[in-house]
Amino acid sequence: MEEYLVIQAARFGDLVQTKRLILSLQRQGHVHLLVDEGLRSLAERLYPQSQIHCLRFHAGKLQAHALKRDLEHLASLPVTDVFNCNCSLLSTTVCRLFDREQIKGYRPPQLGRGIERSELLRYVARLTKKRAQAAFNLVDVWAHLTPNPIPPESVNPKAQGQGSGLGVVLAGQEARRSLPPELLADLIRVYVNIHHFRRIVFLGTDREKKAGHMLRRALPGNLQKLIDDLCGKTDFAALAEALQGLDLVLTPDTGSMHLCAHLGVPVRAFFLSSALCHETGPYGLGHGIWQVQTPCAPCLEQAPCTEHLACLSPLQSREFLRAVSLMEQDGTKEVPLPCHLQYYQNTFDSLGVRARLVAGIDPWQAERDYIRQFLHSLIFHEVLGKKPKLPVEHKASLDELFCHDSDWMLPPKRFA
Amino acid sequence: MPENLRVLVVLPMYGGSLPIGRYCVRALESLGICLRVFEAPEFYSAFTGLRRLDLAPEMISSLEHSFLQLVGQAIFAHVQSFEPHLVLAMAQAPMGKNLLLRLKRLGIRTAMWFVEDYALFQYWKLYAPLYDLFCVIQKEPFFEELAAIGQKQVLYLPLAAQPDFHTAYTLTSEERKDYQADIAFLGAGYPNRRLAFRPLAGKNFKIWGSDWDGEELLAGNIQRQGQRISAEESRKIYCASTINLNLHSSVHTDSLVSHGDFVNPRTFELAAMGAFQLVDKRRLLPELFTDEEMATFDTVEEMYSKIEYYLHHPKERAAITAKAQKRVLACHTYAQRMQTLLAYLEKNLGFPNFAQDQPKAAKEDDPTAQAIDQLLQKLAAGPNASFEEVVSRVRRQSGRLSPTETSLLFLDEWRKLYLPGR
Repeated sequence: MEEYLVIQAARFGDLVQTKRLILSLQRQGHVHLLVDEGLRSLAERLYPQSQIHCLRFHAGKLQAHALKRDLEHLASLPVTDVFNCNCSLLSTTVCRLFDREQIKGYRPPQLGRGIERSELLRYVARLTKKRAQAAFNLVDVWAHLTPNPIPPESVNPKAQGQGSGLGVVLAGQEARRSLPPELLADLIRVYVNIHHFRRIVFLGTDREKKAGHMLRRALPGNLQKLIDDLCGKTDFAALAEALQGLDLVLTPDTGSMHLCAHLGVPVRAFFLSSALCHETGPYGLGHGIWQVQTPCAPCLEQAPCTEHLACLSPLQSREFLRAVSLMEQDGTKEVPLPCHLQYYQNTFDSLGVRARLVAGIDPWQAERDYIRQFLHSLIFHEVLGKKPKLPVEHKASLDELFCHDSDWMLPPKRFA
Repeated sequence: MPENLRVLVVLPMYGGSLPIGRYCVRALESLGICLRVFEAPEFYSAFTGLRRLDLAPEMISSLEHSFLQLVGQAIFAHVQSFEPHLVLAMAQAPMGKNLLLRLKRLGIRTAMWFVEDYALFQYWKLYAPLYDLFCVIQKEPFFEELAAIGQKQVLYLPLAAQPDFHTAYTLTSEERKDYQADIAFLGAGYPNRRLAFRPLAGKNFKIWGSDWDGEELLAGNIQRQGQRISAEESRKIYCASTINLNLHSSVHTDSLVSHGDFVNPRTFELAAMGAFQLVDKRRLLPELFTDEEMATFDTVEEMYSKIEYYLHHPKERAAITAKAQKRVLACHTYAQRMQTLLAYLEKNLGFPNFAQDQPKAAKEDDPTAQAIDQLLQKLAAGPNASFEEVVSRVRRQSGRLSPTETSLLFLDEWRKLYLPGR
């Protein structure tokens, strides 16, 4: 049986999003998974059939002896292929334990410091120059590092409520991606009114305790009684237990959102600021995503906002709450949305999951179709028949992105 | 030979001593010497680029001087980083006077292996006294001349063969068609060779190598229009030929067999490969090979008659070849030459910086410390190499790294990521 090593050195959400790749490889052989030490328990829970290995990828205390011992162990693994999912100098350094030909994804250069990308990842990196037009979910980017990923519909169960109430994820990794307590309180009222939830579970870490108190105060007394505040009380196992039985979870783009998708718990996700559902939306069917796409979005997480958090405005209008209510009660109805707001649900195609517009206007719909057609031809070596109609200058701009001199003149499957 | 000796080998930028320098590097590696190589050939294209500049000769000359100073600085940077006990230079290595004086002041031993004919090249007169040890391929009166200019540490070190390269080569049937010949010669078209070989023009005789322009009588014998032949291809030629002629070069034509002193590298290389050769008599040959180990000739007439003889006596050819091969592998390898050189230095001059900077032995119960010590040795990093330099040397290695090497790179990246400024 073949053995594979998957290196996922990033965070909680990324580990969950590596699922399609890992399940695909498990179908062909045995998978070793290398993650940060802090994610060991989560990795063991998510991927019980994989052998979990850990290194200290993130800040903390790093001991040279332990590092060498762990690397010796990794070097001894009889793996045929190594899938490095991270554009990170730490994970590519680990790849130097193996032959370059074994590495898929990101790998170190032959000599010196740096990172080389496989052909697919090179195109994905180019597409980040036009992030607003993003069209490729990260789960599928990683899955296509292997030539035969499992069908997208077999990755996560179709989401269905399970009777234990409403979950509310209080904040994501980046504060700007999270909703303010007053807005969350309004949303909770709308969802409870429609679905008559008897329990409201606050989810978050220690850092979100204060936000939890503020949200509690913003809710009316009858809803306060329903609150079960788990902020700071859950490790990964307890978080998974808490999410498992819920009917619905309101969340920004977070690791908890991906965990819900993994468990088949329906989410209503709110994507704003730097978050794009076309890149990191929940994977699978049965979810709904509210996406704000102001002209300044998506922004860079690290850069300060110079637009006075313009992406919050569409969500703070009464029109939005009305739209949420209508969408929850009759999702097929044509729902008018505030400017720059879109509502998506997922479908599947040859590449994997894609966010399908249900309401609102997506100015980049045709570009996304065009990009997915290009990626399809790149991955499957076949050209799809019908071409999406898009303005000539937009098409030319994308073609320029796809067709560099180096693509034409240098070997196509190379790392660079 | 002292353990943990660090040797910096400075190769020349180009020329005949360059391959010999590379054999020395392989030999020193096989002896387990902690070695670093200054790759002067990397600078050769810059040097030729300077010469092609459309500038007045004096300006070119000034630029060349500055260029050689720069190369000297690069060598010294290696000395500072590696802290060698010995700098071994091959003939024409870009080691200027100032650099040699600086090394002397630092107590770093210097040695040159001058693998040239002292009568043809005169620059040794200026440089020989600046080296601690001057190794040569000739004896008297060269020894006397060196003593007269103040160099008393002289070691006779004849050329040799490199057994892991100069081995027998089995040709494919296609190669055999290209290379096979009754008689062959590989080398440059010196005047004595041109005249000596002309009577062989009508025979199954192949001439390989350059500088045969204008040689009309032998035009049918010259292969590949006189292109240069690589060391790799020379093995095919030698092993495909029944008789390899080995006539030492001479610019004089009064006597086509020059009866010179030193023995050329081809003599040792052919012997190591088990290829039969007819070599002209040299004054220093008898102490290297006996008459039973080497078929020789004194005159070109003797060469012609021995060609005929040995072409028809394969058993005798085989017997001589086997004896020559046995002798060269026993006595004339570059590893043995390097051992001789190091032993001479140790016995007669010592290594002033050797005793005080020996690395502390890694604790026996600390495998990580032992692994680091082994790695430093492998990387040819000096005893006081900084973490940054060690990491840089690891990073320059290609292919799969060991867990210890990967640990160092990981620690470096982790430090840059989470401990910036430290």
